[in-house]
Parts: sequence; structure tokens; C-alpha cells
Amino acid sequence: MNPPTIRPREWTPGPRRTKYERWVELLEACIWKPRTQSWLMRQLGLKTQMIKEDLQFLLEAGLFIQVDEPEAGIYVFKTTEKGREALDQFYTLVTQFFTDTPNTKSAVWFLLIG
Amino acid sequence: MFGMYIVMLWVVLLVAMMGLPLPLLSIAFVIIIIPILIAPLQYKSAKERFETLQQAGAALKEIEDILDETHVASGLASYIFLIFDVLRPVESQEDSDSGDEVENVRKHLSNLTTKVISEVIFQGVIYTILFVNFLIPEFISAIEEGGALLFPMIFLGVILVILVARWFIFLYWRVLVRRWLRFYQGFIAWGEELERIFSKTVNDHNGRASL
Repeated sequence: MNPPTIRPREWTPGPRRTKYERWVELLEACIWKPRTQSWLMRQLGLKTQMIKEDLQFLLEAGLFIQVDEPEAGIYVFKTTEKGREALDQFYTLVTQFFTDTPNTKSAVWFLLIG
Repeated sequence: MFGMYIVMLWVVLLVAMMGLPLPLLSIAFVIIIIPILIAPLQYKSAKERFETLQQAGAALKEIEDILDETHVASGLASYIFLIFDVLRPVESQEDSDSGDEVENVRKHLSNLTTKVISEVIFQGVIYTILFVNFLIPEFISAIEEGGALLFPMIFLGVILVILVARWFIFLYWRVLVRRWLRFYQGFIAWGEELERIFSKTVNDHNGRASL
């Protein structure tokens, strides 16, 4: 089954993302098939030092698994079941946000008092 | 950006109050027209940001059904984080800790709120003075007499309509941003919880922090 893809056209990742945003992107990028470090760096626009720190955390936390042994400097990573659960929590957060009906009264209140 | 509109409004007000002679009136119109010439560039930037939010909103609504079935949709995060990029204050160029970043965004929004409220009041007063005391009576007079002031009056009217429209767009944008900011804060809380849980796991396992 092909993954449903909704990536925006001509999307360029922002350079000032937090580590939480990078973790979600990494978990999402590796959920359907294993990806190499260079693919992730290129696709997500991450610097070497940054991706190393992120991968280290994800691997040690058990959210990522290194599928192959490093051979000739090639590393392949995949999201684990635990990582998928973490990602599900993120999607739940998104769904909750969109299912909550915007309250006009509170929007006006926020507008007035900040 | 709003600063130049304030200057512009003051020039319009000055023109209205002083009844300047033609050469000075021409200079005043040049000052007034500069922000109007810049307006398309500002409009382009604002339009892009609105389109991003609209595109993201529409895509995320569509994806809700898919999420129920598979819980995973490649690229969803791209939309969300594209919106976070829009929310971040432009002046902050350096990477920062997530807590600091949210704090920066909060401060940015708080400053924006103060700015908007003061501008709403200030501009509202000027619009009222302009419309009630000058524009409407002068416009009626110009139509009745068909004098030379008809064209400048129409021009002033168009400028004021643009300003008022921009005013309402900004207010709408402000409400939209507040909603997304709440989501951004929720996301950061999720990230902090994730980090807390898994850093603890890593610590328990290795006896050292992972990050």
C-alpha cells in the first residue's frame, strides 16, 4: 500500500526548526521505508551535526532502529513501533486541534486582551 | 510596516486640515503614494502566507479520515511545520532551544497584540475624523460643484478604502495566528513530554543523558 502523501509542493523546510519538529519529520520520513542518513539530510535540510544528535536520541530512545550494520559509511534507519506510537500522539494532537470548533467569542476575547 | 501607514494617515489628515495649495498638495500626494507603491509587495508576501495557511488547513481537514484508518500520512508534518515557520518572529535568525523559541513566539505575539490594539484605536480615530469632518462633506461638495478637487478626493477615498481593508485583514490574521500559536504551544508541550519520558528511559538504560 502506498502511503498517503500530502507534502506541499515546492516545500522547503525552515532553517530554524526545533528539535521536536526535526524528530517528528525524521520519524515520519522513516515510517514507510528505511532511509539513509544522507537521504534524510538532503530531504529534510538538516546539517550533519544536527542529524547526528537527533538520530542518537531517537536510536537510544528506541524510536528508531538502525536496520543495517554500517557498511562503507552508509547508515539506514527505520521508525520502530514505539516511534510510530509517538508519531500517532502527534497526529492525535493535530486531529484534536482541527476537530475543536473555533469559538468566535473566545477569538474576539483573545483579540482584545491578547 | 504599519509605521508608514501612520505617517501616511497623518499626511492625509494634514492635507485635509490645512487645505494646502497645489504645489504642497502635490508633494503631500507623493508622500502618500509611496506606501501605495510598496503595497503590492506587501500584498504578495501576505497572500503567500495566507495561501500557506489555507492550503495546510484544507489538506489537514482531508487527512482526518485517513488518519482514522492508518494513523500515518507521509508529509503531514511538512504542513504543520510550514505554519510554524510562518509564526516565528522574523528577526530571530539563530537556532535556539525549543523553550526559548516558544517564549520568543509568545513575546512576538504579545507585542503584536499591543501594537494592533493601539493601532486599531489610533487609526479608528483618524478614520472617523477624516470621513466625518472632511472626506464626506468635501466629496459631496466636489460632486455638486464638479470642481478640480474631484480627482484628488476620489484618490484619497481609494487610499482610505485600501487602509481600512488592510486594517481588517490584519485583524483577521491576528485571530488566525492566535489559534495556531495555541497549537504550537501544545506541540511543544508534547515534545517536552516525549523528551522527558525517553530521556528518562535512556538514563535508566545507560546511566547518562542522551542529549
